[in-house]
Parts: sequence; structure tokens; C-alpha cells
Amino acid sequence: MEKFIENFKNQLEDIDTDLSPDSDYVNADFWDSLTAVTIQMMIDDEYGVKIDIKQISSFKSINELYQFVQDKK
Amino acid sequence: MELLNKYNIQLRLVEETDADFIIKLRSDESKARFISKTDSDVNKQKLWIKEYKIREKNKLEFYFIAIDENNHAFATYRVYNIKEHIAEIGSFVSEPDYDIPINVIKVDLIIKSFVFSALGFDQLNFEVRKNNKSVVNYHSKFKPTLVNEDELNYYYILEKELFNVGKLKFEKLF
Repeated sequence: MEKFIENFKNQLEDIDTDLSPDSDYVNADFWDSLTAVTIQMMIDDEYGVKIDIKQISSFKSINELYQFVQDKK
Repeated sequence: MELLNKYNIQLRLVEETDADFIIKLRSDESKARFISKTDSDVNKQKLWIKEYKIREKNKLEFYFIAIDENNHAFATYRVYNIKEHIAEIGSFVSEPDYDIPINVIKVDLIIKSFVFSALGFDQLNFEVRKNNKSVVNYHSKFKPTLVNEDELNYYYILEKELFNVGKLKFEKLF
């Protein structure tokens, strides 16, 4: 999970953004469709998991997104 | 050259009849803060396009409208300031509520490929508003060189080889 959050942060303009497993990233200030695409690319690159862009924006927390990626790996 | 066609996206050259669409796109509040100011006078916009068409004819500038797989026009992009060794890209604006973000990235890849392959340049330059953070972040994936900055903008140069590496990563999503 720690590594996943680090990978997630690395996709953001401000890599010092405070994120935890419970972070509601979809409603965060930094979140928009373009950021969703960069997260989509990171998940594909780092975990070999294909995820629909709309699905990325459907989770309530980073933990939920992480669990989805773990299940699909 | 009338049309660029790739990834199910068409880019056609701007015509005077696009004046309304361009004004609507560039005047939207959520987009206007990231681009230069646009006059809302349609006739002035048409006149600007008329003058642009002369530059286009002389291959000095190329202004495109992007059309998606549903035949919906959703973005603009322009190649201009074409010099001996470098060309600039800009006027990259998409509809504010456009809900297929991957198509916006496809447009970016098509335009950059056009500059590097069809026009034959090895580098291109562009500027991004500093407060347009997700766009700054997106461009950073291609590892462009930051050559200058001021209060408002970052100014970058992107090399062809670095673009090609980044392009492959995004194409995997298509």
C-alpha cells in the first residue's frame, strides 16, 4: 500500500500532496480527468492492470483503488 | 494536407465557419483562465481565421479542430511560429465537460507526431500556465526541458526522441 501511494503521488504535480489509504482522491482539489489518465497509465505501467478511466473515478478512497488493483493483478 | 486521422480521431483544418465554436470554447470560464484572452466578436474571429488561412496556405501555421468517433468537435490545437529548426504548439483547448479524456490526449499525440513526422522537426516548444497543474503534470510525462518561466507560464522544449518514448506509454491505454 505504501508503495502504491508513493506511485500515486508521483503522478501529481505536487508530489508532496498528503495522501493516506483513506484519502478521497476523487474529491480532492488536484483531481481531474487528465490526472485520472496519468493514474490509469501508472496502474498499467507499474501493475500491469487495465482499468477503465470512469472506474478510477468511482472509488471512495485510495484503499479501494488499491484493492481493485490487487484483485486484478 | 486537409486532415489528420489517427486513433479514431480526425483533425481538420479550421475554417471561418468554426468562429462560433472557437469563441465558445475559449470563452468558457473554466478554460479561459489558462489561455490568452479571446475577443467574443464573431466577425473579428472570422477575420482572424481569414488571415490565418493565408499563413496556412504558405505552410506557416496549422490550426485544427478535433473530431471524435461520434463526429463531435471537441477541441482545438494549433502549430505556429514555425521556424527553421523548431515549431510551437498551442491553442490546445477542449470542451469543458468533455467526458472522454483519453481523446484529449490522443489529440496531443497526433499534433506532436505531426510536428515531428510530417513537418520533420526534431524539437518543438510550448508554454503552459503554471496554475494549469494537471496539464503541467501531463506534459512532464514526456520529460520536456524547462527553458524559461515567468510569473504566469512555464516554457518548454520537447525533443522528438523523448516524445516517442512517452507516446508509447500513452498509446498502451488506447
